[in-house]
Amino acid sequence: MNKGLTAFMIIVSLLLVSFIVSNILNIDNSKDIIQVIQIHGVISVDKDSSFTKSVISSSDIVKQIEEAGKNDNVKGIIVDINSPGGTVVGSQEIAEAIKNLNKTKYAVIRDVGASGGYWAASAANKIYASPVSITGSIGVISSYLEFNKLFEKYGINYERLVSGERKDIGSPYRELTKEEKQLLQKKIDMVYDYFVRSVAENRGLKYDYVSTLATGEFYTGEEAKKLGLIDEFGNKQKAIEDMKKNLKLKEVQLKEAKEETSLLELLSSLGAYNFGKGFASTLIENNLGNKLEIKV
Amino acid sequence: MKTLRFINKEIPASLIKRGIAYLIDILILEFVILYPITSRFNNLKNFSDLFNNSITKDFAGLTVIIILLTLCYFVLFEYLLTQTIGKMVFNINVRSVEGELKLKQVLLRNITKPFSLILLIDVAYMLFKRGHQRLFDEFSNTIVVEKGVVIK
Repeated sequence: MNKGLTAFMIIVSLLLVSFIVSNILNIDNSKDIIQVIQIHGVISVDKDSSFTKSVISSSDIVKQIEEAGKNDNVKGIIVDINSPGGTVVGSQEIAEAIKNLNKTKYAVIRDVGASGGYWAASAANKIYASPVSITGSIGVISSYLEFNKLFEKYGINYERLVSGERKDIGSPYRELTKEEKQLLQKKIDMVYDYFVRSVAENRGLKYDYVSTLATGEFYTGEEAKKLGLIDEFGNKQKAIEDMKKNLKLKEVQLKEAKEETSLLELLSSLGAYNFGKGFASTLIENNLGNKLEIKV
Repeated sequence: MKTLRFINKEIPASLIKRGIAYLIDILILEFVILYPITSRFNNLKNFSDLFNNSITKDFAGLTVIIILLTLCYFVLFEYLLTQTIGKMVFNINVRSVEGELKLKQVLLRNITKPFSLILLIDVAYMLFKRGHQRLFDEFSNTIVVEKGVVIK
């Protein structure tokens, strides 16, 4: 075989392989994409640790939303929510990212989409939920256990050395003064006001109306629809079908980030983690589970 | 009195010829052979998107294919013809120092081609080496030659 023919055969063979492979792997980047973004778990700004999966990081979710925004093939996003809420900033960051996304966005509330979870949902163009989903719960909570009396009983003193009068406000080792309680309540009211204002704006409802609903009470999907907190009954599939129909998309590629198995789950399945880690050490690590935090 | 003799002989190919030949090969790979695959990446703004984008997990398989096709291009051409298309343009060839050019030698000398960072180290070596051998040319006992005139 002469040189020219051999070269031609090599090029054609490689080109053929390249063409076949690109089709077999079915990665058609020209297809329209509907991106599903999961918000499953308690919302926090960052993950507490790599051991737990129940806490989700708003940074991760915001990143996913921003990436969907940059991808021209992503025509819309479905925010799949199963969250009881979480930290104020974490919830607000997600809601803001959804709101700022310049694409069609629908939210689907599964079991729970309450408080911060609902805040995130409210930023979508449309909210779907089951008639028996738990939603609403618009309110702000800040609580902690106080051990002052318990410590007194066992003769343990809290030595208070602070520079700045309110540096140890919310310390579990002493009682709050009346002024401190008022101060904390004022801060919580400010967060509440921001939350209600944001939900009202997102849903196109009046502030006063939303504040009457925002008693912290949760609503079933059925109640929420009557109150205007959700738009339609339906699941993720219905939301996808509606999005396809409304955006006139014929063939779409559905993209969903896969859930990763947490290390805790992995170790639990082996039985080693629970054995090695005692209850007391868990409490100590978590500061007796007692941080003063404001949550939605 | 000594007479000067001009002898046609194979001498190590010049760095410039090898460099341009490599560029020609890369262009053929990019715009002909890999085009069906790379055209699917047209939505990605830059190379880092390949790793950041949430939809890119699916592209991992194609990345492996790109590596394999790149390797196949250099290996098939050099094993069957002792030169790639780029090398044909400058009439330069791959020769084995040991005699006949074997497949494992061709495979070894081209193993760095799909990996730009390793290739950079591989190529940097040739700048300090007489005979312009890349590090993996040396490992594989191969040399790239051109027809030249030697004066004796």
